[in-house]
Amino acid sequence: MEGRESGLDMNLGVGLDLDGFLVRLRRGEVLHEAEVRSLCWRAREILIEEPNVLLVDAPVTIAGDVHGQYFDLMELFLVGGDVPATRYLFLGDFVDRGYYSVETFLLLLTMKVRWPDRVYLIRGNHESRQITQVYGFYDECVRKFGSATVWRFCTDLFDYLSLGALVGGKVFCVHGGLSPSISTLDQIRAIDRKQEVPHDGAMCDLMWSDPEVMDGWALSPRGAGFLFGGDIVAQFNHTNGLDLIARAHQLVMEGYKEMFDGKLVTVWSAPNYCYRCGNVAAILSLSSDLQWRYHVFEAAKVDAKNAPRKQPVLEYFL
Amino acid sequence: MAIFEATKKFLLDHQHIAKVQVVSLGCGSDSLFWRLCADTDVDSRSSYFAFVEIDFPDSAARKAERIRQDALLSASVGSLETGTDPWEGEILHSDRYILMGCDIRDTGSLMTRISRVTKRRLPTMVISECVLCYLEPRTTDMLTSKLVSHFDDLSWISYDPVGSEDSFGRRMVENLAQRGCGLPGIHRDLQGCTRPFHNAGFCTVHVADMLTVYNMILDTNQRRRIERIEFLDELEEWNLVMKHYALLWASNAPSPTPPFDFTKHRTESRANISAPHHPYVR
Repeated sequence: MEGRESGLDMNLGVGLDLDGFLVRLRRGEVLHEAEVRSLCWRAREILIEEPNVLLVDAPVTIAGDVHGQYFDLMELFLVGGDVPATRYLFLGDFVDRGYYSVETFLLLLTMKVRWPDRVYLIRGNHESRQITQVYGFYDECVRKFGSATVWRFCTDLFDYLSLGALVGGKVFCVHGGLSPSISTLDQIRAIDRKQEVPHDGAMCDLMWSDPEVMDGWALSPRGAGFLFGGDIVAQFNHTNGLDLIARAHQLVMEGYKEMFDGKLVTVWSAPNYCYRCGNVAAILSLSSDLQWRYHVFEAAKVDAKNAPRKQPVLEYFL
Repeated sequence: MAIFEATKKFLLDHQHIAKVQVVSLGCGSDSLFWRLCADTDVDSRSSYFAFVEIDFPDSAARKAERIRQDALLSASVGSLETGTDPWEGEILHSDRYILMGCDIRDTGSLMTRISRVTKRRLPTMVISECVLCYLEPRTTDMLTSKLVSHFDDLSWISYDPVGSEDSFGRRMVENLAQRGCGLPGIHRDLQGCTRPFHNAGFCTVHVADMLTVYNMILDTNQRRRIERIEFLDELEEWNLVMKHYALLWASNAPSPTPPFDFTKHRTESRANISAPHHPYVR
Protein backbone atom coordinates (compact mmCIF):
# COMPACT_ATOMS: atom_id res chain seq x y z
CA MET A 1 0.00 0.00 0.00
CA GLU A 2 1.27 3.46 -0.82
CA GLY A 3 2.72 5.36 2.06
CA ARG A 4 2.91 2.36 4.38
CA GLU A 5 6.10 1.80 6.17
CA SER A 6 7.03 -1.84 6.50
CA GLY A 7 10.10 -3.79 7.30
CA LEU A 8 11.24 -7.15 8.43
CA ASP A 9 12.60 -7.89 11.81
CA MET A 10 15.77 -9.73 11.00
CA ASN A 11 15.53 -11.98 13.99
CA LEU A 12 12.01 -13.20 13.81
CA GLY A 13 10.73 -12.34 10.38
CA VAL A 14 7.65 -10.60 11.74
CA GLY A 15 6.59 -7.73 9.53
CA LEU A 16 6.25 -4.25 10.96
CA ASP A 17 2.85 -2.94 9.93
CA LEU A 18 3.32 0.44 11.54
CA ASP A 19 0.23 2.04 10.07
CA GLY A 20 -1.78 -0.98 11.15
CA PHE A 21 -0.25 -0.72 14.63
CA LEU A 22 -1.23 2.94 14.79
CA VAL A 23 -4.84 2.22 13.88
CA ARG A 24 -5.08 -0.45 16.55
CA LEU A 25 -3.22 1.53 19.21
CA ARG A 26 -5.36 4.61 18.57
CA ARG A 27 -8.35 2.38 19.26
CA GLY A 28 -6.76 1.47 22.57
CA GLU A 29 -5.82 -2.04 21.48
CA VAL A 30 -2.68 -3.71 22.70
CA LEU A 31 -0.22 -5.27 20.23
CA HIS A 32 0.77 -8.93 20.32
CA GLU A 33 3.98 -9.92 22.03
CA ALA A 34 5.74 -10.76 18.75
CA GLU A 35 4.74 -7.37 17.35
CA VAL A 36 6.14 -5.63 20.43
CA ARG A 37 9.39 -7.53 19.96
CA SER A 38 9.69 -6.37 16.35
CA LEU A 39 8.71 -2.81 17.21
CA CYS A 40 11.28 -2.60 20.02
CA TRP A 41 13.98 -4.06 17.79
CA ARG A 42 13.28 -1.49 15.09
CA ALA A 43 13.06 1.32 17.64
CA ARG A 44 16.39 0.28 19.08
CA GLU A 45 17.98 0.72 15.67
CA ILE A 46 16.67 4.28 15.53
CA LEU A 47 17.40 5.28 19.12
CA ILE A 48 20.93 3.86 19.11
CA GLU A 49 21.85 6.40 16.44
CA GLU A 50 20.48 9.34 18.37
CA PRO A 51 22.89 11.36 20.53
CA ASN A 52 22.63 11.80 24.30
CA VAL A 53 21.40 15.34 23.65
CA LEU A 54 18.95 15.26 20.77
CA LEU A 55 19.14 18.18 18.37
CA VAL A 56 15.53 19.11 17.68
CA ASP A 57 14.34 21.80 15.32
CA ALA A 58 11.60 24.22 16.18
CA PRO A 59 8.65 24.40 15.84
CA VAL A 60 8.09 21.64 18.37
CA THR A 61 5.62 20.92 21.13
CA ILE A 62 7.10 19.73 24.39
CA ALA A 63 5.17 17.42 26.69
CA GLY A 64 5.99 16.39 30.25
CA ASP A 65 5.07 13.26 32.21
CA VAL A 66 2.23 11.20 30.79
CA HIS A 67 2.39 8.21 33.16
CA GLY A 68 0.23 5.76 31.35
CA GLN A 69 -2.78 8.08 31.13
CA TYR A 70 -3.64 6.97 27.61
CA PHE A 71 -6.96 8.78 27.24
CA ASP A 72 -5.38 11.99 28.45
CA LEU A 73 -2.65 11.50 25.85
CA MET A 74 -5.44 11.46 23.26
CA GLU A 75 -6.61 14.74 24.74
CA LEU A 76 -3.07 16.08 24.47
CA PHE A 77 -3.04 15.32 20.74
CA LEU A 78 -6.40 17.06 20.31
CA VAL A 79 -4.96 20.15 21.96
CA GLY A 80 -1.50 20.13 20.43
CA GLY A 81 -2.32 18.70 17.04
CA ASP A 82 -1.89 15.26 15.49
CA VAL A 83 1.37 13.57 14.72
CA PRO A 84 3.07 14.05 12.22
CA ALA A 85 1.66 17.52 11.50
CA THR A 86 2.88 18.63 14.92
CA ARG A 87 6.39 17.73 15.96
CA TYR A 88 6.55 16.49 19.56
CA LEU A 89 9.23 16.06 22.18
CA PHE A 90 8.19 13.96 25.19
CA LEU A 91 10.26 14.42 28.32
CA GLY A 92 9.98 10.88 29.69
CA ASP A 93 7.87 9.12 32.34
CA PHE A 94 5.59 7.50 29.75
CA VAL A 95 4.78 4.60 32.06
CA ASP A 96 3.76 3.80 35.65
CA ARG A 97 0.97 5.15 37.89
CA GLY A 98 -1.72 5.31 35.17
CA TYR A 99 -3.60 2.20 34.06
CA TYR A 100 -2.62 2.20 30.40
CA SER A 101 1.16 2.40 30.40
CA VAL A 102 1.39 -0.39 27.80
CA GLU A 103 -0.91 1.31 25.30
CA THR A 104 0.68 4.70 25.97
CA PHE A 105 4.26 3.61 25.48
CA LEU A 106 3.55 1.40 22.48
CA LEU A 107 1.68 4.24 20.77
CA LEU A 108 4.50 6.72 21.34
CA LEU A 109 7.06 4.16 20.26
CA THR A 110 5.17 3.31 17.07
CA MET A 111 4.88 6.98 16.27
CA LYS A 112 8.63 7.34 16.85
CA VAL A 113 9.44 4.49 14.52
CA ARG A 114 6.93 5.69 11.90
CA TRP A 115 8.04 9.33 12.03
CA PRO A 116 11.49 9.45 13.64
CA ASP A 117 11.98 13.15 13.02
CA ARG A 118 8.49 14.16 14.15
CA VAL A 119 8.42 12.40 17.53
CA TYR A 120 11.27 12.59 20.02
CA LEU A 121 11.40 10.68 23.28
CA ILE A 122 13.85 11.23 26.12
CA ARG A 123 14.26 9.15 29.24
CA GLY A 124 12.55 9.83 32.54
CA ASN A 125 13.33 8.31 35.92
CA HIS A 126 10.41 5.89 35.45
CA GLU A 127 12.03 4.40 32.33
CA SER A 128 13.85 2.06 34.67
CA ARG A 129 13.70 -1.63 35.56
CA GLN A 130 13.67 -0.93 39.30
CA ILE A 131 11.11 1.87 39.31
CA THR A 132 8.67 0.12 36.96
CA GLN A 133 8.58 -2.86 39.30
CA VAL A 134 7.37 -0.59 42.08
CA TYR A 135 5.01 1.78 40.28
CA GLY A 136 2.89 -0.39 38.04
CA PHE A 137 4.32 -0.93 34.54
CA TYR A 138 5.71 -4.39 35.35
CA ASP A 139 2.40 -5.50 36.90
CA GLU A 140 0.45 -4.12 33.97
CA CYS A 141 2.61 -6.01 31.45
CA VAL A 142 2.18 -9.27 33.33
CA ARG A 143 -1.57 -8.69 33.55
CA LYS A 144 -2.00 -7.81 29.85
CA PHE A 145 0.49 -10.26 28.32
CA GLY A 146 0.61 -13.07 30.87
CA SER A 147 4.38 -12.75 31.42
CA ALA A 148 7.17 -10.25 31.94
CA THR A 149 8.54 -10.64 28.40
CA VAL A 150 7.10 -7.39 27.04
CA TRP A 151 8.29 -5.57 30.16
CA ARG A 152 11.80 -6.86 29.41
CA PHE A 153 11.61 -5.72 25.77
CA CYS A 154 10.54 -2.25 26.88
CA THR A 155 12.97 -1.85 29.75
CA ASP A 156 15.85 -3.02 27.54
CA LEU A 157 14.76 -0.37 25.05
CA PHE A 158 14.65 2.32 27.74
CA ASP A 159 18.45 2.04 27.98
CA TYR A 160 18.69 3.50 24.47
CA LEU A 161 16.60 6.60 25.11
CA SER A 162 18.44 9.91 24.96
CA LEU A 163 19.07 11.89 28.13
CA GLY A 164 18.09 15.32 26.94
CA ALA A 165 17.36 17.55 23.98
CA LEU A 166 18.37 20.93 22.67
CA VAL A 167 15.78 22.87 20.69
CA GLY A 168 17.00 25.56 18.37
CA GLY A 169 20.27 25.68 20.28
CA LYS A 170 18.57 27.65 23.03
CA VAL A 171 16.12 25.49 24.95
CA PHE A 172 17.61 22.60 26.89
CA CYS A 173 15.13 19.86 27.70
CA VAL A 174 15.63 17.18 30.33
CA HIS A 175 13.33 15.07 32.47
CA GLY A 176 14.51 16.04 35.97
CA GLY A 177 17.16 18.70 36.11
CA LEU A 178 20.78 19.55 36.62
CA SER A 179 23.71 17.77 38.22
CA PRO A 180 26.61 19.06 40.28
CA SER A 181 28.78 16.85 38.05
CA ILE A 182 27.65 18.66 34.89
CA SER A 183 28.25 22.22 33.87
CA THR A 184 28.25 21.87 30.07
CA LEU A 185 26.15 20.08 27.49
CA ASP A 186 29.31 18.41 26.22
CA GLN A 187 29.67 16.65 29.56
CA ILE A 188 26.21 15.17 29.01
CA ARG A 189 27.25 14.10 25.54
CA ALA A 190 30.18 12.20 27.04
CA ILE A 191 28.02 9.98 29.27
CA ASP A 192 27.62 6.32 28.38
CA ARG A 193 23.86 6.23 28.60
CA LYS A 194 23.18 2.65 27.54
CA GLN A 195 22.56 1.27 31.00
CA GLU A 196 19.94 1.08 33.70
CA VAL A 197 19.45 4.45 35.43
CA PRO A 198 22.22 4.55 38.02
CA HIS A 199 21.55 5.24 41.70
CA ASP A 200 23.74 8.31 41.67
CA GLY A 201 26.01 10.32 39.42
CA ALA A 202 25.41 12.59 36.48
CA MET A 203 23.00 10.39 34.51
CA CYS A 204 20.91 9.76 37.61
CA ASP A 205 20.81 13.46 38.51
CA LEU A 206 19.55 14.49 35.05
CA MET A 207 16.51 12.29 35.60
CA TRP A 208 15.90 12.87 39.29
CA SER A 209 16.86 16.44 40.27
CA ASP A 210 14.42 19.23 41.05
CA PRO A 211 14.69 23.02 41.07
CA GLU A 212 14.15 24.73 44.41
CA VAL A 213 13.81 28.37 45.42
CA MET A 214 17.21 28.75 47.02
CA ASP A 215 20.84 29.13 46.02
CA GLY A 216 23.29 26.32 45.41
CA TRP A 217 22.72 22.58 45.82
CA ALA A 218 20.96 20.50 48.46
CA LEU A 219 20.22 16.83 49.02
CA SER A 220 16.96 15.81 47.42
CA PRO A 221 14.14 14.55 49.65
CA ARG A 222 13.42 12.03 46.87
CA GLY A 223 16.56 10.12 47.83
CA ALA A 224 18.15 10.52 44.37
CA GLY A 225 19.34 13.53 42.41
CA PHE A 226 19.70 16.95 43.98
CA LEU A 227 17.84 20.17 44.55
CA PHE A 228 19.36 23.05 42.58
CA GLY A 229 18.77 26.77 42.97
CA GLY A 230 18.27 29.78 40.76
CA ASP A 231 21.94 30.69 40.72
CA ILE A 232 22.80 27.23 39.40
CA VAL A 233 20.24 27.60 36.61
CA ALA A 234 21.48 31.09 35.71
CA GLN A 235 25.04 29.85 35.53
CA PHE A 236 24.16 26.76 33.46
CA ASN A 237 22.10 28.79 31.01
CA HIS A 238 24.85 31.37 30.68
CA THR A 239 27.63 28.81 30.21
CA ASN A 240 25.68 26.92 27.56
CA GLY A 241 24.09 29.86 25.77
CA LEU A 242 20.57 28.85 26.72
CA ASP A 243 17.38 30.87 27.09
CA LEU A 244 15.40 28.23 28.94
CA ILE A 245 15.51 24.83 30.63
CA ALA A 246 12.31 22.88 30.04
CA ARG A 247 11.81 19.91 32.35
CA ALA A 248 9.08 17.78 33.84
CA HIS A 249 9.26 15.29 36.75
CA GLN A 250 7.19 17.23 39.28
CA LEU A 251 3.42 17.43 39.52
CA VAL A 252 2.26 20.99 38.87
CA MET A 253 -1.36 21.74 39.69
CA GLU A 254 -1.60 24.45 37.00
CA GLY A 255 0.03 22.26 34.34
CA TYR A 256 3.16 24.37 34.01
CA LYS A 257 5.26 26.48 36.34
CA GLU A 258 7.96 28.97 35.49
CA MET A 259 10.78 29.67 37.92
CA PHE A 260 13.81 31.93 38.23
CA ASP A 261 12.48 34.79 36.06
CA GLY A 262 11.48 32.42 33.30
CA LYS A 263 14.84 30.64 33.06
CA LEU A 264 13.29 27.27 33.84
CA VAL A 265 9.85 25.78 33.36
CA THR A 266 8.27 22.57 34.60
CA VAL A 267 5.77 21.07 32.18
CA TRP A 268 3.36 18.40 33.45
CA SER A 269 1.15 16.57 30.97
CA ALA A 270 -0.85 14.14 33.12
CA PRO A 271 -4.15 15.85 34.05
CA ASN A 272 -5.95 14.69 37.21
CA TYR A 273 -2.81 12.71 37.99
CA CYS A 274 -3.48 9.25 39.38
CA TYR A 275 -7.16 10.04 38.84
CA ARG A 276 -7.22 11.97 42.08
CA CYS A 277 -4.95 15.01 42.12
CA GLY A 278 -7.41 17.31 40.38
CA ASN A 279 -4.66 19.11 38.45
CA VAL A 280 -4.74 20.41 34.90
CA ALA A 281 -1.96 19.53 32.43
CA ALA A 282 0.01 21.52 29.90
CA ILE A 283 2.18 21.31 26.83
CA LEU A 284 4.67 23.91 25.70
CA SER A 285 4.71 24.92 22.05
CA LEU A 286 7.86 26.51 20.68
CA SER A 287 7.48 28.36 17.40
CA SER A 288 10.12 28.52 14.68
CA ASP A 289 11.61 31.60 16.29
CA LEU A 290 11.42 30.01 19.74
CA GLN A 291 8.49 32.03 21.05
CA TRP A 292 6.76 29.89 23.60
CA ARG A 293 3.10 29.29 24.38
CA TYR A 294 1.49 27.01 26.93
CA HIS A 295 -1.65 25.03 26.20
CA VAL A 296 -3.47 23.86 29.29
CA PHE A 297 -5.89 20.96 29.18
CA GLU A 298 -8.02 18.87 31.49
CA ALA A 299 -8.51 15.14 31.80
CA ALA A 300 -10.49 13.44 29.08
CA LYS A 301 -14.09 12.75 29.99
CA VAL A 302 -14.78 9.75 27.77
CA ASP A 303 -12.69 6.93 26.38
CA ALA A 304 -12.11 6.13 22.73
CA LYS A 305 -15.31 4.12 22.50
CA ASN A 306 -17.28 7.08 23.79
CA ALA A 307 -18.28 5.32 26.98
CA PRO A 308 -17.80 6.86 30.43
CA ARG A 309 -14.35 6.15 31.75
CA LYS A 310 -13.90 3.05 33.88
CA GLN A 311 -13.56 3.99 37.50
CA PRO A 312 -10.07 3.21 38.66
CA VAL A 313 -9.28 2.02 42.16
CA LEU A 314 -8.60 5.00 44.37
CA GLU A 315 -6.34 5.45 47.34
CA TYR A 316 -7.66 7.60 50.12
CA PHE A 317 -7.58 7.21 53.89
CA LEU A 318 -11.10 6.29 54.80
CA MET B 1 0.83 6.63 64.19
CA ALA B 2 0.07 10.14 65.45
CA ILE B 3 -3.04 8.82 67.18
CA PHE B 4 -1.03 5.97 68.71
CA GLU B 5 1.58 8.39 70.02
CA ALA B 6 -1.05 10.78 71.39
CA THR B 7 -2.96 8.00 73.15
CA LYS B 8 0.21 6.47 74.51
CA LYS B 9 1.28 9.83 75.91
CA PHE B 10 -2.15 10.23 77.50
CA LEU B 11 -1.77 6.84 79.19
CA LEU B 12 1.83 7.39 80.27
CA ASP B 13 1.06 10.85 81.68
CA HIS B 14 -1.40 9.19 84.08
CA GLN B 15 0.37 5.87 84.64
CA HIS B 16 0.60 5.03 88.34
CA ILE B 17 -1.16 8.32 89.11
CA ALA B 18 -4.77 7.97 88.10
CA LYS B 19 -7.25 5.75 86.34
CA VAL B 20 -8.11 6.96 82.86
CA GLN B 21 -10.54 6.17 80.04
CA VAL B 22 -10.21 6.06 76.28
CA VAL B 23 -13.35 6.19 74.13
CA SER B 24 -12.88 5.35 70.47
CA LEU B 25 -15.80 6.44 68.29
CA GLY B 26 -16.29 4.51 65.06
CA CYS B 27 -13.44 2.17 65.95
CA GLY B 28 -13.87 -0.22 63.03
CA SER B 29 -11.23 -2.91 63.00
CA ASP B 30 -8.66 -0.62 64.63
CA SER B 31 -6.05 -2.41 66.71
CA LEU B 32 -4.99 0.55 68.85
CA PHE B 33 -5.95 -1.13 72.14
CA TRP B 34 -3.81 -4.18 71.40
CA ARG B 35 -0.85 -2.14 70.18
CA LEU B 36 -0.91 -0.12 73.38
CA CYS B 37 -1.12 -3.29 75.48
CA ALA B 38 1.88 -4.65 73.59
CA ASP B 39 3.92 -1.49 74.09
CA THR B 40 6.60 -2.08 76.69
CA ASP B 41 6.22 1.39 78.20
CA VAL B 42 2.52 0.90 78.94
CA ASP B 43 1.66 -1.02 82.09
CA SER B 44 -1.44 -2.75 80.80
CA ARG B 45 -1.55 -5.29 83.59
CA SER B 46 -2.40 -2.78 86.27
CA SER B 47 -5.71 -2.08 84.48
CA TYR B 48 -5.45 1.60 85.18
CA PHE B 49 -7.01 2.38 81.87
CA ALA B 50 -10.37 1.33 80.42
CA PHE B 51 -10.76 1.27 76.67
CA VAL B 52 -14.24 1.70 75.21
CA GLU B 53 -14.65 1.00 71.49
CA ILE B 54 -17.88 1.91 69.71
CA ASP B 55 -19.11 1.17 66.22
CA PHE B 56 -22.27 0.14 64.38
CA PRO B 57 -23.71 -3.06 65.91
CA ASP B 58 -22.92 -5.26 62.91
CA SER B 59 -19.35 -3.95 62.68
CA ALA B 60 -18.82 -4.35 66.42
CA ALA B 61 -20.25 -7.88 66.28
CA ARG B 62 -17.77 -8.88 63.57
CA LYS B 63 -14.92 -7.44 65.60
CA ALA B 64 -16.08 -9.27 68.72
CA GLU B 65 -16.16 -12.54 66.83
CA ARG B 66 -12.62 -11.96 65.61
CA ILE B 67 -11.42 -11.19 69.13
CA ARG B 68 -13.06 -14.26 70.62
CA GLN B 69 -11.49 -16.50 67.98
CA ASP B 70 -7.96 -15.24 68.50
CA ALA B 71 -6.07 -16.23 71.63
CA LEU B 72 -3.67 -13.29 71.51
CA LEU B 73 -6.44 -10.73 71.04
CA SER B 74 -8.53 -12.29 73.79
CA ALA B 75 -5.60 -12.42 76.18
CA SER B 76 -5.15 -8.63 76.09
CA VAL B 77 -8.84 -8.08 76.63
CA GLY B 78 -8.82 -10.28 79.74
CA SER B 79 -11.69 -12.18 81.34
CA LEU B 80 -14.95 -11.32 79.72
CA GLU B 81 -17.89 -10.53 81.93
CA THR B 82 -21.31 -11.72 80.97
CA GLY B 83 -24.70 -10.48 82.00
CA THR B 84 -27.13 -7.91 80.85
CA ASP B 85 -27.32 -5.08 83.37
CA PRO B 86 -25.60 -2.61 83.42
CA TRP B 87 -23.76 -3.84 80.38
CA GLU B 88 -26.84 -4.47 78.32
CA GLY B 89 -26.07 -4.15 74.67
CA GLU B 90 -22.33 -4.27 75.16
CA ILE B 91 -20.91 -6.92 72.94
CA LEU B 92 -17.70 -7.54 74.88
CA HIS B 93 -16.88 -6.37 78.38
CA SER B 94 -13.88 -6.95 80.61
CA ASP B 95 -12.25 -4.92 83.37
CA ARG B 96 -10.23 -3.00 80.79
CA TYR B 97 -11.97 -3.30 77.44
CA ILE B 98 -15.55 -2.67 76.30
CA LEU B 99 -16.81 -3.12 72.76
CA MET B 100 -20.16 -1.46 72.21
CA GLY B 101 -22.48 -1.70 69.23
CA CYS B 102 -24.14 1.68 68.85
CA ASP B 103 -24.95 4.14 66.08
CA ILE B 104 -23.11 7.25 67.31
CA ARG B 105 -25.48 9.46 65.33
CA ASP B 106 -28.06 8.62 67.97
CA THR B 107 -26.28 10.86 70.44
CA GLY B 108 -28.90 10.44 73.14
CA SER B 109 -28.58 6.69 73.23
CA LEU B 110 -24.81 6.94 72.88
CA MET B 111 -24.47 9.21 75.92
CA THR B 112 -26.73 6.96 77.99
CA ARG B 113 -24.60 3.96 77.23
CA ILE B 114 -21.26 5.76 77.60
CA SER B 115 -22.37 7.05 81.01
CA ARG B 116 -23.08 3.51 82.13
CA VAL B 117 -19.59 2.22 81.36
CA THR B 118 -17.41 5.21 82.23
CA LYS B 119 -16.92 7.59 85.16
CA ARG B 120 -17.34 11.26 84.39
CA ARG B 121 -14.62 12.43 86.77
CA LEU B 122 -11.81 10.30 85.35
CA PRO B 123 -9.46 11.82 82.73
CA THR B 124 -10.88 10.72 79.42
CA MET B 125 -9.62 10.80 75.85
CA VAL B 126 -11.99 10.52 72.92
CA ILE B 127 -10.59 9.29 69.58
CA SER B 128 -12.32 9.80 66.24
CA GLU B 129 -10.29 8.61 63.25
CA CYS B 130 -12.04 9.32 59.94
CA VAL B 131 -15.39 9.50 61.68
CA LEU B 132 -16.51 13.12 61.92
CA CYS B 133 -16.16 13.55 58.15
CA TYR B 134 -19.03 11.08 57.70
CA LEU B 135 -21.33 12.87 60.12
CA GLU B 136 -23.64 15.76 59.41
CA PRO B 137 -22.23 18.89 61.06
CA ARG B 138 -25.14 19.13 63.50
CA THR B 139 -24.44 15.58 64.69
CA THR B 140 -20.81 16.48 65.35
CA ASP B 141 -21.97 19.60 67.19
CA MET B 142 -24.17 17.46 69.43
CA LEU B 143 -21.46 14.87 70.02
CA THR B 144 -18.83 17.41 70.98
CA SER B 145 -21.06 19.44 73.24
CA LYS B 146 -22.58 16.39 74.98
CA LEU B 147 -19.23 14.76 75.59
CA VAL B 148 -17.51 17.91 76.82
CA SER B 149 -20.42 18.61 79.16
CA HIS B 150 -20.34 15.08 80.51
CA PHE B 151 -16.66 14.55 81.30
CA ASP B 152 -14.80 16.77 83.77
CA ASP B 153 -11.41 16.24 82.17
CA LEU B 154 -11.79 15.50 78.46
CA SER B 155 -9.31 15.55 75.61
CA TRP B 156 -10.22 14.63 72.06
CA ILE B 157 -8.01 13.62 69.18
CA SER B 158 -9.52 13.59 65.71
CA TYR B 159 -8.20 12.75 62.24
CA ASP B 160 -10.22 13.59 59.13
CA PRO B 161 -9.92 14.63 55.51
CA VAL B 162 -10.01 18.40 55.01
CA GLY B 163 -9.90 20.96 52.25
CA SER B 164 -12.99 20.36 50.17
CA GLU B 165 -12.74 23.57 48.15
CA ASP B 166 -9.52 23.21 46.16
CA SER B 167 -9.10 21.02 43.07
CA PHE B 168 -7.72 18.02 44.96
CA GLY B 169 -10.41 18.29 47.62
CA ARG B 170 -13.24 18.69 45.11
CA ARG B 171 -11.94 15.71 43.14
CA MET B 172 -11.68 13.64 46.36
CA VAL B 173 -15.27 14.46 47.31
CA GLU B 174 -16.47 13.64 43.76
CA ASN B 175 -14.46 10.41 43.50
CA LEU B 176 -15.79 9.12 46.80
CA ALA B 177 -19.34 10.26 46.04
CA GLN B 178 -19.23 8.22 42.82
CA ARG B 179 -18.58 5.19 44.98
CA GLY B 180 -21.46 5.96 47.32
CA CYS B 181 -19.25 7.41 50.04
CA GLY B 182 -20.42 10.88 51.04
CA LEU B 183 -18.39 13.27 53.17
CA PRO B 184 -21.03 15.55 54.67
CA GLY B 185 -18.72 16.55 57.53
CA ILE B 186 -15.61 17.53 55.54
CA HIS B 187 -14.46 21.08 56.24
CA ARG B 188 -13.11 23.48 53.67
CA ASP B 189 -10.05 24.32 55.78
CA LEU B 190 -8.29 23.68 59.08
CA GLN B 191 -10.12 26.54 60.75
CA GLY B 192 -13.41 24.88 59.94
CA CYS B 193 -12.29 21.72 61.74
CA THR B 194 -11.86 23.60 65.00
CA ARG B 195 -15.27 25.26 64.98
CA PRO B 196 -17.36 22.43 66.47
CA PHE B 197 -14.86 22.09 69.29
CA HIS B 198 -14.70 25.83 70.04
CA ASN B 199 -18.49 26.04 69.84
CA ALA B 200 -18.88 23.10 72.22
CA GLY B 201 -16.75 24.84 74.82
CA PHE B 202 -13.35 23.16 74.60
CA CYS B 203 -10.81 25.64 76.07
CA THR B 204 -7.91 24.52 73.94
CA VAL B 205 -8.07 23.42 70.33
CA HIS B 206 -5.07 22.73 68.11
CA VAL B 207 -5.10 21.56 64.51
CA ALA B 208 -2.46 20.85 61.89
CA ASP B 209 -2.46 19.20 58.50
CA MET B 210 -0.73 15.85 58.31
CA LEU B 211 2.17 17.21 56.26
CA THR B 212 2.99 19.50 59.17
CA VAL B 213 2.50 16.67 61.63
CA TYR B 214 4.75 14.36 59.61
CA ASN B 215 7.54 16.82 58.90
CA MET B 216 7.52 18.95 62.02
CA ILE B 217 5.95 17.05 64.83
CA LEU B 218 6.91 13.41 64.45
CA ASP B 219 10.50 12.92 65.44
CA THR B 220 13.25 12.07 62.98
CA ASN B 221 13.63 8.47 64.16
CA GLN B 222 9.94 7.80 63.65
CA ARG B 223 10.07 9.29 60.16
CA ARG B 224 13.17 7.32 59.21
CA ARG B 225 11.51 4.11 60.41
CA ILE B 226 8.49 4.81 58.20
CA GLU B 227 10.63 5.78 55.20
CA ARG B 228 12.55 2.55 55.34
CA ILE B 229 9.36 0.54 55.00
CA GLU B 230 8.43 1.82 51.57
CA PHE B 231 10.31 3.87 49.01
CA LEU B 232 8.41 6.98 48.00
CA ASP B 233 9.87 9.58 45.70
CA GLU B 234 6.80 11.38 44.35
CA LEU B 235 6.68 14.05 46.97
CA GLU B 236 4.35 16.51 45.26
CA GLU B 237 1.53 14.01 45.36
CA TRP B 238 2.43 12.98 48.91
CA ASN B 239 2.42 16.64 50.00
CA LEU B 240 -0.93 17.19 48.31
CA VAL B 241 -2.54 14.18 49.95
CA MET B 242 -1.05 14.91 53.38
CA LYS B 243 -2.26 18.51 53.29
CA HIS B 244 -5.78 17.19 52.87
CA TYR B 245 -5.85 15.36 56.17
CA ALA B 246 -6.01 17.11 59.52
CA LEU B 247 -5.05 16.11 63.04
CA LEU B 248 -6.96 17.96 65.74
CA TRP B 249 -6.52 17.91 69.49
CA ALA B 250 -8.90 19.57 71.89
CA SER B 251 -9.16 19.70 75.67
CA ASN B 252 -11.42 21.14 78.34
CA ALA B 253 -8.77 20.82 81.04
CA PRO B 254 -7.60 24.04 82.71
CA SER B 255 -3.93 23.12 82.16
CA PRO B 256 -3.95 21.01 79.04
CA THR B 257 -0.91 19.10 77.85
CA PRO B 258 -1.14 18.57 74.10
CA PRO B 259 0.49 15.38 72.83
CA PHE B 260 2.51 17.32 70.26
CA ASP B 261 3.95 20.79 69.90
CA PHE B 262 1.39 22.13 67.45
CA THR B 263 3.09 25.51 67.47
CA LYS B 264 6.15 24.22 65.59
CA HIS B 265 6.32 25.82 62.19
CA ARG B 266 9.08 25.85 59.62
CA THR B 267 9.16 27.18 56.10
CA GLU B 268 8.15 24.57 53.63
CA SER B 269 11.37 24.51 51.64
CA ARG B 270 12.12 20.94 50.77
CA ALA B 271 15.76 21.67 51.33
CA ASN B 272 14.91 21.74 55.06
CA ILE B 273 13.57 18.22 55.02
CA SER B 274 16.30 15.71 55.68
CA ALA B 275 16.91 13.35 52.81
CA PRO B 276 15.13 10.06 53.42
CA HIS B 277 16.81 6.74 53.47
CA HIS B 278 17.10 5.64 49.85
CA PRO B 279 16.69 1.85 49.67
CA TYR B 280 18.98 1.58 46.66
CA VAL B 281 21.78 3.68 48.06
CA ARG B 282 24.45 2.21 50.31
